[in-house]
Amino acid sequence: MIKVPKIQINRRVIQNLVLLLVLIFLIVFFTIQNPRFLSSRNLFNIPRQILPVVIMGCAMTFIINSGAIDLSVGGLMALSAISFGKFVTLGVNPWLAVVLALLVGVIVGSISTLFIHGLKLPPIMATMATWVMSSGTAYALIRAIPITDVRMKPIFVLNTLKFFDDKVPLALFIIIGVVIIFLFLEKKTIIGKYTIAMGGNENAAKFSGINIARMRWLIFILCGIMASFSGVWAVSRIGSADPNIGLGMEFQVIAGCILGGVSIKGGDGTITGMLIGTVLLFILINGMNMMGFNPYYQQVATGIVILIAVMINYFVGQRGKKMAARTA
Amino acid sequence: MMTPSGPTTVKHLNRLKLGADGMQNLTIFGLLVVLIIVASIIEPKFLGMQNISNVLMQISSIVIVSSVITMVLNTGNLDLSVGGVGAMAGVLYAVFARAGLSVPLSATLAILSGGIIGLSNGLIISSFRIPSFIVTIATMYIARGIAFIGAEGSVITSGLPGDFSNLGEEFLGPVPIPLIYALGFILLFIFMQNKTVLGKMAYAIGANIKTSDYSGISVRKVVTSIYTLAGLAAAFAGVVVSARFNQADCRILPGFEIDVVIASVLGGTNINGGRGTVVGMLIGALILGILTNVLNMMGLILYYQYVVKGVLLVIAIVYNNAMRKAIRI
Repeated sequence: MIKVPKIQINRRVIQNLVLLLVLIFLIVFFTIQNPRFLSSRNLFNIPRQILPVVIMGCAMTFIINSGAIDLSVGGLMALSAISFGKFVTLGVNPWLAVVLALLVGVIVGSISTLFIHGLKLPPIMATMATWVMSSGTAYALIRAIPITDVRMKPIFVLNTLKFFDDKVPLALFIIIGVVIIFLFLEKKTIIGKYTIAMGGNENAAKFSGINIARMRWLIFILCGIMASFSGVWAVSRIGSADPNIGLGMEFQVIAGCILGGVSIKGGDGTITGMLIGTVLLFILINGMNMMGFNPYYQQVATGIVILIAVMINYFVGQRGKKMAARTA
Repeated sequence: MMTPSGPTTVKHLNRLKLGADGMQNLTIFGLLVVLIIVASIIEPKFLGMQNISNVLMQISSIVIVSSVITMVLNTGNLDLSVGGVGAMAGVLYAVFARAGLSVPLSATLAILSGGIIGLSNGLIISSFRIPSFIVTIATMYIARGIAFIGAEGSVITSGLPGDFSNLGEEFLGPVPIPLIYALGFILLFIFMQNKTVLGKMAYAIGANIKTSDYSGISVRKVVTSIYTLAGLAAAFAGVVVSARFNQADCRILPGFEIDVVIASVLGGTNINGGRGTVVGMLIGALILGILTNVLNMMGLILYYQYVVKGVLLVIAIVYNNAMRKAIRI
C-alpha cells in the first residue's frame, strides 16, 4: 500500500544512524586511547587529508549507483598532478595550469565512457585500462622523477589558507561546497534519479527514454574533474608533482562508498551515506595511525572493512526486498 | 529489401566448421607468428637462445596463474587478487623458512595460505552473489598488506636457508624448472577443461548461471573450488618467483592481475564468461611476453609498457567481442 516508500526511507535512515553510532563509538574509543585525537590540531587537519576521498566519493556514488565503477581515479590523480607540473614548467600561469589539469580529467573520463559505450567493454575492464594508461603516462612523462618548481608556489595557498583565527582550513569549505553541490545534483536534478534508474535496470532505463551513454558520460566527466582537482590538491599539499600521488586511492574511495551503504550492484546509495562511510573509514585509519600501528596494517584493515561492508549491504538489501514484497 | 548483413557471413563461416574459439586461436596464432617475424627483423638478438629462454621464464608465472584464471573467467567471474596473493605467499615462504621450518614444509604452508584466500574469495562471492571484482580487490589489498607486514615493507634477503632457491633455480636437463611447472599447469588445466565435469560446469555457469542452477549444478561448490585453485596457483607462482630470485620481495608481481586477464582475453576468453580455452591463453601469454620483450629491447621506457598493456587489454576485449558476434556456432 502507501507504506512502501516509507520503508525505503526508513531503511536508509536506519543504516545511516547505525553508521553514525559506529562513528561516534570509534571517536570515543580513539579519544580514550589517545587524548590528542580530539585536539583542534588533529581535527582541523582532517579536512585537508580527507578532501580527495570525499570529493571523489561524491562522483563515485553516482557512478556506482548507475551500475558502473571507476577504477581510474588514482591513476588520473597522478596524471593530472604531473600534467599540472609539466604545464607550469613550460611557463603556463599556475592557475591556468589547474584548469588545464582539470581538462585532463574531462578527457580521461570521456575515454572511459568511450570504452564502455562505444566499444562495449565492461566498466571494470574499461576503467582498469584507463587506470594503467593514465598511471603509466604519468610515470613515463617525467621518468618517475617528481617535479619541483618554484613557479608552482601560488597554488600552495589552497593548502595553507586558513580562516577564523588562522584555524579553519580552506579544505573544509571546499568539502562543504562540493558536498552541497552534489546533494543538489542528487536530490533536485535528474542526474540523481536517472543514475539510480540505470543501476536498477539498465534496459528498463533505456526503454523509458534515458540517454544512458550521455548520462554515463556526464558522471564520468564529473568524476574525472573531481579526481583531477584531487591531484592538483595533492600537489599543493606535498609541494611537488609526484607520480605516486593517488596510489591506492581508488580503493579508499570505493571502500568509503560501500561502507556508506552504496550497493556495489548499483541502483541504491546516497551521498549522505557515502559521506558518513568515508569519514568512518578515515577515522578508523587515522585512529590506528595515532595508536602507532604500522601503516601496512591499515591496508589489511581497509580490505576487511570492505568485505564486511559488502556483506552487510547484501543482508540489508535482502531485508529491504522482503519487507517491500510483504507490504506490496 | 535484402541487405548484405550478418546472416550471410554466419552461413558462410558455418560451412568452414570452425567455431569462434578455433577462429580466434587461428588468428592470434597468426598474430604471434607475425610478431615473431617482425621482432626478429627488428632485433636480430631476438631469436637467440638466451633471449627466448628469458621470454619463456618471464611468462612462466603468467601461464601458471592464467591457466586457472581462464577457468575463473569461464564462470563469468574475475580474480584481481592473484598479484597480492603471490606476493603474500612468497613473503610467507621466506618468513617460515627463516623461522627454521624445512623448505618443503614452508613452501606447502605458503601455498596453502594462498588457498585460504582463494577459498574465502569463492565462498563470499558464491554465497552472497556479490560482484567478484569488489571481493577480490578487497582480498588483494589484504594479501598485499600481509606481504608488506611480513617483509616490513621491503625485501627479505638474509637468514634464508641454502636450499631456499631450489624450487625455482633447478634445471631439468637444459630446461629451467619454472618452465616445467608452467607446462605441467597447462597440461593439467587443458585436461580439467576438456575432460572433467568441473570444466564443463564452469562453462555452463558462465554461459547462464540461472539455468545451471536449475539443472542441478552446485554453483557454490564449483565457483568456490575454482577460486581455491586460483589462490593455490597464484601462491605457487609467488613461491617460485621468490625462490628464483632467492629473496622475498613484497612488491613482486606488480600489475599481475592485469597481465593474466590480458593473456586470457587475448586467447579468446570471453570476459563475460562462458567461453575460453587454456590453449588460447598460452598463445595470448606468448604474445604478451614477446611484445614486452621487444619493447624492452627497443628501449621503450618501462612505464610506457603500462600504457601499451592498457591498449592491449582494450583491443583484446573488442576483438574478442567482434569475433563472437561474427561467428555464432
